[in-house]
Amino acid sequence: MQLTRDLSNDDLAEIVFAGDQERLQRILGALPEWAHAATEHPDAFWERQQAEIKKRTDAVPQRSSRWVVIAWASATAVVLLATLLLRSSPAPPPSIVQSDVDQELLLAVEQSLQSGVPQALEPAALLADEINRSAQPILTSHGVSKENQNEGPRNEDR
Amino acid sequence: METALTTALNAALAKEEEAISSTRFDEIVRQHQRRVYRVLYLLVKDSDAADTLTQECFLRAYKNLGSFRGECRIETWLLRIAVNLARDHGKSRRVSFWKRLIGLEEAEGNETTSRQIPGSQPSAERVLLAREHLAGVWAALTDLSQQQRTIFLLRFAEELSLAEIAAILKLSVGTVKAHLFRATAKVRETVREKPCS
Repeated sequence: MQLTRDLSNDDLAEIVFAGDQERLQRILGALPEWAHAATEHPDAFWERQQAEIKKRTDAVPQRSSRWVVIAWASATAVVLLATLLLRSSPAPPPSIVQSDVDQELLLAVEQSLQSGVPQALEPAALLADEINRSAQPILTSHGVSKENQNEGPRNEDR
Repeated sequence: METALTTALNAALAKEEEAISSTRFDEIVRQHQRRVYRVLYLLVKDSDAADTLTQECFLRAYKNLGSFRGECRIETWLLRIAVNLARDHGKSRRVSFWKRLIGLEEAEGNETTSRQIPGSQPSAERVLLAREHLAGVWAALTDLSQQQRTIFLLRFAEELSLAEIAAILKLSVGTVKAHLFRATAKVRETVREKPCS
C-alpha cells in the first residue's frame, strides 16, 4: 500500500501497461500454437479432404488443349483481318465524284464563255464598268451644259 | 500439315501434359491443405465451413491454374483465394442471418457451439482447449474490421511477414502496418478490460 502511494501516476500507468503488454505478448506468443492445435485432425480427415478435392477437380471439364486455343486464336485473327479488310475497302465509286467534277468544270466554262471576259479579269471588268457608269453622267451633264453654253449666245445672237 | 500421325502424337502429348499437371496439383493440395484450412478456420471460426471452403479454395485454384503467372509464391496465391472465400462466406452468413431474422430461412443449429469433435482425433482435449483459447482471442477481435482481423490473425497466428500479408491482400506494406498497429492497439484495450485467457 505504502509502495503504491509512493509511485507517481506515470509509474502506475507504466506498471498497468506493462501488465497489459505482458498479457498481450503471452496471448500473441501462444496464438500460433493454439491455431495449430485447434486445427489438428487425424490423417483420415486430410485424406478425405484430398479425395474430395480430387473428385471435384476431376469433375471439372478438361481445360481446352493448346491446339484448340491456337485454333480459336487463328479463327479470331482471320475474322478480325476480314473485318479490317472490309472496312478499308475502296471508298465510294469514283465515277460519281468524277462526273460531279466534270459537271462543275463544264458549268464554269459555260459561264466564262457567256460572260465575255475571262474569269480572272472579271474584277477588272467590273471596275471598268463602274468607272464608265460613273463617268457617263458627268460627261452627259458636261455635254449638255456645253451645248447650252454654245447655244446660249446663238440664241442671244438671234 | 497435320497428318493422322501428328494428330495422335499431339493428343498423346496433351494427355501427358494434363496428367503431369494433375499429379502436380495433387501434390500442391497435400503441401498446402493444412495451412489453407487453418487460415480459413481462423477467419470463419467454424471447422465444417473451413473444410468446405478449403475444398472450394483448391477447386477455384485448379480452375484458374492457367491464370497463375508465378509472380508470387503458390502459397500466397492460395491464401489470397482463401481470404477472398472467407470474406464471401462472411457476407453470405450476414445475409443468412437477416433472412433467418425475417423468417425467410429455417434456423439452423448453432454451428460454433455444437461443433462435433471427431472421437478419433489425436489429443482431443488439447484441441478443445486450444479452441477455447481461440474463442477468447476471437472475442477480443470482435471490434476489429474484417481487414484488421485478417491481418492480425495472419501476422500473429500464422506468423506471416508483413510483405507476405501485403502480397496476399494486395495491399502495400505500409497499409498492412497501419492496420496491424490499430488492430493491436484495440486488442490491447480489450485485453485490459477483460482478460481473454
